[in-house]
Amino acid sequence: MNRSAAQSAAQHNPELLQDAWTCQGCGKCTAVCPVSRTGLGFSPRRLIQKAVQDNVDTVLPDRALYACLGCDRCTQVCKSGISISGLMLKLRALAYKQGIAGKPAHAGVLQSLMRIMASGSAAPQNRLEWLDSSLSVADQGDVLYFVGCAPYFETVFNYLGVQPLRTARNAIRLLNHIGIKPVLLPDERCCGHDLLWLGDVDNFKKLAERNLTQIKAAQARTVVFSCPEGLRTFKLDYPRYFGSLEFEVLHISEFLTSGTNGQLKPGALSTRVAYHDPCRLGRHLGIYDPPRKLLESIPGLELVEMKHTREAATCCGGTCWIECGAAVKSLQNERLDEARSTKADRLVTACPKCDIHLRCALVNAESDTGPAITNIVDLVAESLRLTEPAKPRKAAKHTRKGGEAYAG
Amino acid sequence: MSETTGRRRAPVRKRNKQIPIGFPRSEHGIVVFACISALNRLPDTSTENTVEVNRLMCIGRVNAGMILEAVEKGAQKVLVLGCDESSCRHQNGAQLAFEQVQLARNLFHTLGLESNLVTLELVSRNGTSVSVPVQEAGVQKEPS
Repeated sequence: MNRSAAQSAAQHNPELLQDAWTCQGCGKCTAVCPVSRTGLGFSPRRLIQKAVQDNVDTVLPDRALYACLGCDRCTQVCKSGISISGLMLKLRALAYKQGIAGKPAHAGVLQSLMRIMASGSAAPQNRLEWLDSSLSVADQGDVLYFVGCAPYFETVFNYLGVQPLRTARNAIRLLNHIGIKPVLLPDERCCGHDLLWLGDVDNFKKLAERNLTQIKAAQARTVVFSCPEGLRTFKLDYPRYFGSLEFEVLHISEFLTSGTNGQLKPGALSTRVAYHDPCRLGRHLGIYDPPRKLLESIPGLELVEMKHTREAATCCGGTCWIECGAAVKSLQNERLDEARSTKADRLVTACPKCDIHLRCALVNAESDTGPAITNIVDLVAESLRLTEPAKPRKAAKHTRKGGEAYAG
Repeated sequence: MSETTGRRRAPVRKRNKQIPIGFPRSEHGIVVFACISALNRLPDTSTENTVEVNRLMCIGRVNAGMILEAVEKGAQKVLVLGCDESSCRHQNGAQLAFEQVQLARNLFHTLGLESNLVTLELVSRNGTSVSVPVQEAGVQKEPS
C-alpha cells in the first residue's frame, strides 16, 4: 500500500484507521476468511484497502461490511496485528450513525427485542418463569449465573427444536450439584453483543449499564456464563466502555474445571463426540482447553477432533442475526460434513447460537442425518443423570414458524 | 474502484434499509397491518387519518418482526387485519398470521409488556370482522 496515502487517510480518520494503515496488503486475511472461501466475492483485504485508500464513506454502504462474521480467523494470521473484527465494529458503528445497517435475519425480531429491552418500557420482564422447585437459586451471593437470551431464543427458535432453557436449567443443576446456589437476575437484559456488532452502540450501552447496575446490587464476585457471546462482551467490550469490571467473568466450563469452586466429577456416559469451538470462546477469548477437559473427565466418552479445530475451527456462520444467506449456509453445511466424517454420535458445542445455526442447516439439508447437536452443559448434566436425555423434537419444515395450529 | 479497474459495475443498490413501517403518525399510536382484500371488504376504511395502515398483499406476509418493530418505535396498539380462512385468496394467510401474532404475543409476555398489544382480526366474505383469540403460551415448562 502507498504509505503516504495511507497516512493521509489515517490522519483524516485517526481513531478509525489507527490499526488499518499498517496493512501490508499480503492477503492472508482473505486467504483464511471462511466467507471468502464461499466464492461470493467478500474480501477483508479489499475492504481494508478501500477504507484506507479511498474515503471511508465509500465502504460504509458496501454489503461486504456486513458479510464479515467477526470470527477473528483473519486477525490470527495478520502479520501487522490488525484486529479486523475490531475495525469492522468501528466501521459498522459509523455506518449505523448514517442510517445504514445489515439486513436483519428472522425479520428483525431479535434486533427489535434487544432495542425494546434497552428502552425503559420492558420492565419488569417475566424471564424466570421457567424456574421450578428443583432448582435452587438465590437473590444475593458470590456466584451469579447470567442466563442471556435463552428465554427469547426458546420462543423464537421453537420451530427448530432447540431448547436453550434446558441448557439454562442444566447449568443451574450442575452448579447446585457442586453446592452453589447461583444468583439469577429477575430483570436481566441482553448483554448487547448483537447490537454492538450491528453498530448500534447507544442501545448497547443502555443494556450494559442496566446489567452492570443489577450485578452490582446482587453483590456477585463471579459471573458465570453458558453463552460465549455474553462472556466475550462482558470480558472485552464492557471494560472498553465502562472501565474494568468489579467481578470475575468465567465460562461455565472454566468454572466447573477450575477446582477452586468444588471440582465437578461427571458420571459415565458411553458416547463418541466431536467438539465444535465457538469463535467467541475460542479465538476471541482463547478458551480451548476447559471445555475439552470437562468432556474428557466424563468416563466412557470418546472425544474426537474435526478437521478444522481449535484456532482453525470454522464458524457456525452467525454473527448478530444479520445477512443470513448462501455463504453462511455453505459454511454450516461444511461444518456438518466435517462432523459427519468423524463418525461422532454427537456434535458438542458450548454456544447456544452455534446450536441454533447448525441445527437450522441440519433441518434444511436434504438429508437431515447427522450427529445430534448437543450443548456441553446438557451433556455433562446427562452424564450425572441430573436431566432426562433430550427428546428429539422434530422441526416443522413446511411452515415458516411451527406455531400452534389456528383452529378456525 | 470502477474507474481504476475500468470495469463497469451496477450501481450499489440501497438494500440496507429495513422494511419501512409507517410509524404512529396518529396521536392514538395505532399501527394496522392489513391485507388489501380485507381492507376493501370493510364497510368503512376512512380510518386512515387516525391510524397508520400498512397495506400487504396478503396477511400471511405479516411477521413478528414487523409487529415488534412497530412496538419498538412507539406503537401503543398493533392490529393485524386479514381475510378469514374461507375468503383468503392465498389459502393459508390466516394461519400464517395467527402463528406470527402468537409468536409476538409470547415475546411480549416474556418482555413484560401487555400481550394484548397486538390483536388479530379476520374479515369474512360479507365484510364483518371477528377478533380471533390468540393465547400466548409463555415460556415452556420442562416436560415432566
